[in-house]
Amino acid sequence: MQPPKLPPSDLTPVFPHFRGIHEIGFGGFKTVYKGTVGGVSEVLKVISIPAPDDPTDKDQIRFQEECVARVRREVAILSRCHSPFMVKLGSVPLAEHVINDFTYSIYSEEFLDGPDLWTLIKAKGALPTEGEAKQLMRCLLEAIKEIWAMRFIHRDIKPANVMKLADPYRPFVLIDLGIAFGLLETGITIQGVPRTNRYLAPEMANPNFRSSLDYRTDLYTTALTVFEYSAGKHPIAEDSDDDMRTISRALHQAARPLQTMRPDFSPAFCQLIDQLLKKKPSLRPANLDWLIAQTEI
Amino acid sequence: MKLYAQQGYGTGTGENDRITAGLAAGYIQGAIISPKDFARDRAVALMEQMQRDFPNADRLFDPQWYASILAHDPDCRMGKLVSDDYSYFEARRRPQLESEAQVRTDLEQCLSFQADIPITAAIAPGIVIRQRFNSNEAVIAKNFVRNARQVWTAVGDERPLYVTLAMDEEALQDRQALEEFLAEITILDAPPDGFYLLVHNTTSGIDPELIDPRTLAGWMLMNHSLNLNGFRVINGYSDILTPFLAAAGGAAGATGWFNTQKVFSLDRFSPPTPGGRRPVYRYLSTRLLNSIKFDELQLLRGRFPEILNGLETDQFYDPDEKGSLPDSQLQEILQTWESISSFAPDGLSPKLSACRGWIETAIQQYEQINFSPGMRLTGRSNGDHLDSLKDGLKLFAELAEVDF
Repeated sequence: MQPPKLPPSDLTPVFPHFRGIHEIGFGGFKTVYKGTVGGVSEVLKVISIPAPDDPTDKDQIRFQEECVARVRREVAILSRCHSPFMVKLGSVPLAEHVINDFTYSIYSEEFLDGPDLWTLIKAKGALPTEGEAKQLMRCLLEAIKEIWAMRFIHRDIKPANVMKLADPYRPFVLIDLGIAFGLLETGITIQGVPRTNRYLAPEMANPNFRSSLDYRTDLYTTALTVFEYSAGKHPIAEDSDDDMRTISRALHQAARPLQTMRPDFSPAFCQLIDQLLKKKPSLRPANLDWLIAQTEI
Repeated sequence: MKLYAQQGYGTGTGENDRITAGLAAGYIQGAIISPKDFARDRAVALMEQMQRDFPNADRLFDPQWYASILAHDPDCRMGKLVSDDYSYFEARRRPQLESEAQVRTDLEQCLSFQADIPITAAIAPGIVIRQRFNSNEAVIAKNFVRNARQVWTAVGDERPLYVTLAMDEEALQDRQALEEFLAEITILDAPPDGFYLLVHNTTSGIDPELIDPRTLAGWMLMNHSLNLNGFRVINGYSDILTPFLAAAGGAAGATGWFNTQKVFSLDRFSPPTPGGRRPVYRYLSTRLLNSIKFDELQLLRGRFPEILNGLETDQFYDPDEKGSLPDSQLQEILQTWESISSFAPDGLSPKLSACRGWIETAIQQYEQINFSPGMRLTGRSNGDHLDSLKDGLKLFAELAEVDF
């Protein structure tokens, strides 16, 4: 059974130093609340840990353990990250809390004061300049480099997981390592591969992806994100598609060239994005330092 | 695109030294020295001469380590590889090489040897991947690739490092295994500067231009993917295929004067077989994408003057005095080198669209020739290779996800 979403009033007694707690987002098992600690804004991340309906059901018990393990891993990775382009942990350390007889994993992160890119894309405002698109790419590549150094893959880079800030030193920040994949770890996903089909790297559709996955999957989704933000349109998926059609396109349909959508961008940058959108990982340039150098403005 | 001499038996000396003649004429930009038929002293002397007279030329040494698995057979022709000249070379059995420690030891010996000779870049050894990229040999080959950089760094040499990647032509035909292999070797923790690619054929007695389309596509894909990932690719024994591989991203190709230097095969190390005859001199026509016999050239050149390349070395094939017969093998190889180099004027790599154009032109040319009574080109000179090249190019475009 999945624990219910908590009203802010249930969190206040648990985190009395947090002021003005209010919900700002909800998705899947996670609810996000904003509050202030000593005058600084933070977000509380509250993850509902499903309790087994049958305490002897091994699958349900494993699923519960997996949910806990995912959160622990996410926090463990973030605690080792120093890149300004990754979200930082806040003042509340990760712990399991029992509230109203249900278990929740709760920790805090810094509050990022800006819209996510998906919100901006949907708003159909002014499209970014090439300089800004390159800046976005550079931030994401730096983040990937840091995560990969720990032999992890984000696996869920998409516009909704990138925050745009007004800070010139941190123009874009990557969030949500909830489904990160560790090359050196035993897999902890037992309920199928978690993914956002619109941002599915083709190799992720391979049932045996664990044996061949590497950070080039993140390079692909970075290119998808940069493309969609730059063009206001996804390079492959159509909004009207159902899941099956979206997956089919991801596997078989070539991405439209960025230059056709942004003729004002330099051919070299467009070609780089196009190349990173190739279906086969070995056709995506993988030298991170070289890629970062290509984003020089 | 660079073209190298694939050195081998019969290099010649003095005025007949094929390599220095090719360098002096500007038809080649370097040489890949093979130790099997060349003593260490001669190899070093040649490289020193190149260093002195052609300082911009690349000097590479193929350690031919891939032959080590044949060296247990006393009947095999290991030549000077098993002499004191090349102390790094030892017979190996596959199970020995399954030990990574052994691989590192062999790398160390081979690379230390190269550190002492005047090369411009080292080539780390490797073995031939037989049949498939998921074979035991592939695991061993990957161990050589993964360990080469660390060993070269430990040797303390700063010259660029290439790693031998030799594979059966059959292996290149398995798309999925090839893609998985490429995915692995394109992200290495300690990458070399480049790769020395060798595509192994069961015999070197085949025509270099006649290649299975799937093999050509796979070979081009390797060049393309490795280049995209920042590696320089040198294709050994690539002969007339060099421009096609360069169009896919290859940095260089190589060919030599005998067929054993145009097509890579371990059969040159195998026990000798009786027979064999002196090869007939040939002329490489860029328009036909093929070499034809000198007497065929003599027959055709009046009626189809366009099959002549219009290059300097055409003068070696004088129609009047000698019926288009060149004086020597030196002239023949110079003509071959100049012709292949002419596909990439100013050294710039050709584009894929140019490759397609060459094939279409060649198809039309063959049609014109073959429809003329008494002119039909047969045997190795025929146009059978064109369908293979065309299909290979098309398949490569599909594999590389490029518009074609």
